[in-house]
Amino acid sequence: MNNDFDDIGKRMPFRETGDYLDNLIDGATEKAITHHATAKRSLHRMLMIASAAAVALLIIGSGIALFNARSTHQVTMNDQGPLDEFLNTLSDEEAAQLTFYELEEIPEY
Amino acid sequence: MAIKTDDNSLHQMLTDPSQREGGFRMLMKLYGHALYWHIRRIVIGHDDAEDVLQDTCIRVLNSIHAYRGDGSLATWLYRIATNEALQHLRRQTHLFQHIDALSDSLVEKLKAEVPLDGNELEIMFQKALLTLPTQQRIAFNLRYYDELSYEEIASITGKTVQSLKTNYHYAAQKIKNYIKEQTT
Repeated sequence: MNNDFDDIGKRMPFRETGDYLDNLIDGATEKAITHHATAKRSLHRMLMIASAAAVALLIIGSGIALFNARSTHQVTMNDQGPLDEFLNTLSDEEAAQLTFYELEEIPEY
Repeated sequence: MAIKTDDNSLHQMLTDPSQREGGFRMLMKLYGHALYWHIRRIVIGHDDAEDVLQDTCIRVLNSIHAYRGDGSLATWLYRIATNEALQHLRRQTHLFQHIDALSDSLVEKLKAEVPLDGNELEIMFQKALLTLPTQQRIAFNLRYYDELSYEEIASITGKTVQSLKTNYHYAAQKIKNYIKEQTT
């Protein structure tokens, strides 16, 4: 290459020594390696947390869905009302007694 | 280019996860000085250059998987370092300010960084370089200091070889004129 600036050459007006720069470059290299490893671990950790959160959400969602399904079933059962439930617990004889129970049979006081 | 190495074996080390760290250390041993000075010539300040070199190392290590081996490793490294240095300069600009407007503050930084007994001609040369638009200054530095071919500079900067040749000669003339003005 034709050097247009022979009087100046390629020297820079700065005086950082080779040894100083070797240390600086080694430091930057090691920091980058540490940063890279940390970033990878952080990414791995974030993925683990995200996976755990997704599983937890799935479990909670399934639980809520199951609870809702059961509640609906209970509401269907409860549609009979407390009187019907009570009548269902009676035997046939008790039910018959109840059916033929007359007001005039109530003793007078 | 000042540094040549067996890119293939280094590339193999960098793409093999078990050898990546060793390959990266070797890469930085080979190109660390060249990258530092390339960055320093763009951002001028030593502390800035140190920060940008650190960012460059991280970017290189994080994106080594993206290097396909199409161009040389050196060209790829220079491209990353150039982009990081330009990003660093952009962060110093105000809203809607172009990085070329930073030349005055870079001259001030230069004055603060040079030793008291610094060579006046060397300092004047750096000041002359700072009169060039940033992209032109980068291209000039890559040609003059790093002795890259125009094809390599084109690969780093995304400019055409012809425009780089024209710009280099224009920049050289501008620097000569600046020095002539300052010394007469």
